[in-house]
Amino acid sequence: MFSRKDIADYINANFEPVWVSVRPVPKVEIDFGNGRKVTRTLHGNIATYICTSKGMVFDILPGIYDPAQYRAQLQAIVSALAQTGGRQDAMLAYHRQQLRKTHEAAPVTVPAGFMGIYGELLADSRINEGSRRDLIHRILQARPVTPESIKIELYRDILHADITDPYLGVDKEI
Amino acid sequence: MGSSAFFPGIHMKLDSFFKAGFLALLFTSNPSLARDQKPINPADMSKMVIEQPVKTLLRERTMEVVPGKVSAGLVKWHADMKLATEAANRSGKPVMVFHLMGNLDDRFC
Repeated sequence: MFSRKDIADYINANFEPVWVSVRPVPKVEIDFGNGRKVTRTLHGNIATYICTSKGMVFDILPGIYDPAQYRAQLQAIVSALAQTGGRQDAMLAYHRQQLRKTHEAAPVTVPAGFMGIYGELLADSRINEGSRRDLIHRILQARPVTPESIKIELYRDILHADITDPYLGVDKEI
Repeated sequence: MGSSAFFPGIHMKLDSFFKAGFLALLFTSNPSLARDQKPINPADMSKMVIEQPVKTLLRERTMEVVPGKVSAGLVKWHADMKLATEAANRSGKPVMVFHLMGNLDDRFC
């Protein structure tokens, strides 16, 4: 995502960006027994927080999005934040307003032959916009938060990856 | 070559002859070359035309890659939240915080 020039240019022009690791990523190595090995990450997830210059969270994009949706949502959030003028009451009102709306991911045309992984990204984007954003608006309409203060709750209850669990919940699945 | 005026076809052959002779002298009689280099098999000449430029390219134009590290994309990331918020106060732009498991510049994240 961040290697795409269009996305990176937009972020560089409109944000002061920083990435933060919430915990080491679990990895799985598959040994095929013939000298060949494959290493994959397991159970990772991401969150994008848009914050004021004081570091208070205005909105959150939970999980993975397809690039077009990601940029569209970032643009919408930047515009909405500008309209609040940074006022706390306006920011809380924004979230109450969002809860009253029906959320649908913007239509995206998938290039022919790219449906595989792109299709999964689109499905993720729909889930993110459909149910996860509502859960986030419920939290943010009630109290001001910082990324640090909300990350455990976000990962556990919305992204379903409890970062306080050393096994990230995987031990229950095995 | 003066002889080419009277024997035009011979010019190229003489030219090749002198070149081959020069190369033969160069690679067999030069003492320093004999010390520093193995004698070159004429059959390897065409291989050198291909390999030498590639070896030069590798020597001069590649960097050692730290195992497991990759570029974190084209975004100009601040090193930490404090620097990002300080920059935001100067620029008026919002801060974008990207949370992930692992490190964005790790091969696996």
